[in-house]
Amino acid sequence: MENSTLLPQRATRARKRIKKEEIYGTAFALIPLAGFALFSLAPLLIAFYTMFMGMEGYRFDTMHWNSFANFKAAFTDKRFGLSLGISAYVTLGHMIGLAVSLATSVLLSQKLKGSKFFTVLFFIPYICSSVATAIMWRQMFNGGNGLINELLKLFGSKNGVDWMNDPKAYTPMLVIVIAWQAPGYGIVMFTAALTGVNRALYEAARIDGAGRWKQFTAITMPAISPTTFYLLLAGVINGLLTFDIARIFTGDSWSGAAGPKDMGLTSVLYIYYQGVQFRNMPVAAVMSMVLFVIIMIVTVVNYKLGDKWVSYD
Amino acid sequence: MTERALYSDGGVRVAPQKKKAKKTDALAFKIVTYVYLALFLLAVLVPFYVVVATSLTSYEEIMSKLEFIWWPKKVSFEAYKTVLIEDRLALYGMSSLLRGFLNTMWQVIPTMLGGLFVSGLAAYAYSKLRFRVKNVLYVITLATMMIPGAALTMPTYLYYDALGWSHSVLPMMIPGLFGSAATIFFMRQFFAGIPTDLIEAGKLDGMGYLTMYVKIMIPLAVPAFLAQGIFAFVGGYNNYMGPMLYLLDNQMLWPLQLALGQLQAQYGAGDQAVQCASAIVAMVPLLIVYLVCQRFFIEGVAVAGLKG
Repeated sequence: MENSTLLPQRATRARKRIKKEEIYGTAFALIPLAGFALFSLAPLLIAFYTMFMGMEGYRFDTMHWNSFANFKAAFTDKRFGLSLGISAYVTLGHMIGLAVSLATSVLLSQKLKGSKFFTVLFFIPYICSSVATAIMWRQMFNGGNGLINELLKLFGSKNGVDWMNDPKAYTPMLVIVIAWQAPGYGIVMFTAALTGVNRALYEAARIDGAGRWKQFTAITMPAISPTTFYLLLAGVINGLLTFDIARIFTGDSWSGAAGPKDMGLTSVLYIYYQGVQFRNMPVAAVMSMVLFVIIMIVTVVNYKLGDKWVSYD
Repeated sequence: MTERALYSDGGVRVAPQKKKAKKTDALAFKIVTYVYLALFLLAVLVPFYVVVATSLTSYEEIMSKLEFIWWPKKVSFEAYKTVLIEDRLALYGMSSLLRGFLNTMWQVIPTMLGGLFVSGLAAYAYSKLRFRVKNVLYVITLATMMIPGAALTMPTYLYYDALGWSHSVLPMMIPGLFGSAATIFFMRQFFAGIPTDLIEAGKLDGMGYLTMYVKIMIPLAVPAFLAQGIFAFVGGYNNYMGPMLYLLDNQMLWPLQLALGQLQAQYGAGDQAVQCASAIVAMVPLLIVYLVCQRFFIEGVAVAGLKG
């Protein structure tokens, strides 16, 4: 009975509440989007605009239409073409890392003794910075007294490989370094995904006489496919954006060379040379946009292909 | 090679007939597994061993031999002295790595905390508040994750230069304060598990919306924040490209990774002991934190990365 007198009052209060809720909710949700507009969208628009302009240094007041000269420069630049190839090549390191992390996590998921111990140690490369990783591996690959050459000599190679100066060896070396660093993250992600797989399915498969390989392909792979998909996409994108390791291996290079015969010239490294070292930002903008579009295409294609093999249950 | 070895014992033999065969098969598989894991572990750890051994070898010993030194004849801490006390890039008597470490701390932690707060705030709005444009904004937020902004790092330099930020820490510190779409996505899922009744109760108590976030949501979501925070901290601690673009000419502000990168350029490939010692010194703080609270790291990365 008392309520009846309170009801109208409550209703207006509730309405006021809802109005306030609208304002606060929208504001809270908009802050990150404002950040996106300021720090991603604005640079994107500026990059787009810059592509069509000539300019001196970084001075906007010197900008002028230059009838696609930047595009001509970028698309006829053989080094840029090469750099896209190198970026695609070093992506191989992430793919090897993906395969290794899948195999490793499946083995670890058998609940063997020491599984946890292994997981903890396998994760370490992930928390090592690219700079430290590059320094470690330059030591490993040192032509004179590196461990890798020492082992190669042990197995019959005469002088080992001159990793830092041999154009044929340089890119594979970067791939190995990336493949060393990549699995840590993948193992943790796959291990998390594997704990979610229904154990009863394996029991049923075993009764049906399915072997380990069959169980892996028929049960494990489909169950963890969203994680595989995510890691695959992230790996390709990170590979195409490789910079730190390529830059540290090359060191300061005022001529803009990267490794013997440019075999360490990843796209982002070359774009860095163009934009910052040569202060040629418009051409760097075109190249960045090419990379941007390539990654967008790779993402879309991945999603399209993903429909065929990824199952979200 | 290892992967092939994994399955070479052939699952076919696990046919139900012979129990004994099954048992030996299981044992064989176990052995193959351990051999693989041990080899992989060796591959993971060997580089660390090599840099430790090299860092402890004197310059003279490295120069006198043209082969790999498994362990120095005489352990020398010269390289560590150089790196920790007075390297060639030291300023005001403080070594560049030490200063770099301190710089990293103040350049990374505030942005990490601010970003977490803002991401959580947006996630709270998406999961617990009612407003008309909610779904539209959420879809847009998720869509921003698909845009590979990292590809545009160089043209972005032009933007920060125009803002007058290109010789400061602002490009590393300010954008992160606006949160990240991946964190919002993750936190929203976490908040979905917190009963909405708590918010309703808060409303009845006359709490404001920001107060409810701080007093009700944050305390209940500490593990989720921790997971995301670790993720962000490792990323910030290891960031090299940003500082290299914006802080190269400002030595006082160099964070750890930039100092490390510059140090290895400064000493060149010749002084291997210093190179290795500097890499170790730069890695050790994070390694210690990791080994002490590895559970949080691994769980944090696993949950933070899921579908993110």
